Amino acid sequence: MGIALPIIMGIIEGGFKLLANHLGKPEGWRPSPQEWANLDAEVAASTPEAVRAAARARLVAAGIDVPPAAP
Amino acid sequence: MNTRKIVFWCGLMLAALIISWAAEAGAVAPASPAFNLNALLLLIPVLVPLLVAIGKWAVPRMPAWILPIVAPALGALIDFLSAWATGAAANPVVGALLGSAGVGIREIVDQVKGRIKTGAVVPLLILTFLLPAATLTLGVTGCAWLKNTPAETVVYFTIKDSWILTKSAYTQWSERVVLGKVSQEKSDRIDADWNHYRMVMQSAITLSRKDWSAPASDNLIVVQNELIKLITEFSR
Repeated sequence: MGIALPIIMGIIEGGFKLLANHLGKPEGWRPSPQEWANLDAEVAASTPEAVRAAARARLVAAGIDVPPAAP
Repeated sequence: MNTRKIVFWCGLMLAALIISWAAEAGAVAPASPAFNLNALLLLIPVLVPLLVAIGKWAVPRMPAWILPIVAPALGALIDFLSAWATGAAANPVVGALLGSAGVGIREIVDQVKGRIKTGAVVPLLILTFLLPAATLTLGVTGCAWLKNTPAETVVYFTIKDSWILTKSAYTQWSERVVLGKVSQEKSDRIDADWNHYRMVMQSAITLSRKDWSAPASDNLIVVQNELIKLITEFSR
């Protein structure tokens, strides 16, 4: 097997997120100020520490042995 | 030939037969103007390499010669399904071209990089998603799409798609970091580039909120591509 299942799941998840970004938008749709603000807030919150903490939580929830975080 | 190979190819053939029959019979869903068909076409170069990657997983020994047949077929299939869902006119030729283009660039990258190791698959796929998405979609479908889509929306999609794809690559990288598969030096370097990308992204968002015609996207895409290339390189 060339590609591990978690990676396949990651690709599928990314694909669905892209689809979700494009689907359901009516003709002439424009992003609202709230949508810009949400994106801005998500970018601000996605620090390396936050992304790693989320990755750690996801791996632990999947039952994968994770080394303890560095202090 | 093993069972999952037979199931995969039978499923593909069945899907092709159903589509041919539906197209012949004019079995098209009622119009639904709530969806933008041409926006979906933008995703064909993204989705086809994704489906091919899944197909390669399902059929590890898929012969290379089959790809030029499967890729345009998948592109046309997605185009047809989009048209069926929206009730708009299908353009299977454009779908097939976009499908071929997405996989073609992916294969070129594969050839250049040699045999891909597991850890590099996601960044490489994401990188190859970006190239056709950024160039071919605007070149082939963008002209028609742009006529009906506010420029502000195009800017928003460009920025948000960049964010989704780049964050997906960085998230996969972070899992490797958490699992201790990456050196501290490489982790620090990618973190620095990620923070730089976030800074450029926030500037692009701020500028776009004030004036969507501000030319911030080019720099964003350059920084994004550099980050993904580096993740790809460090994942080998």
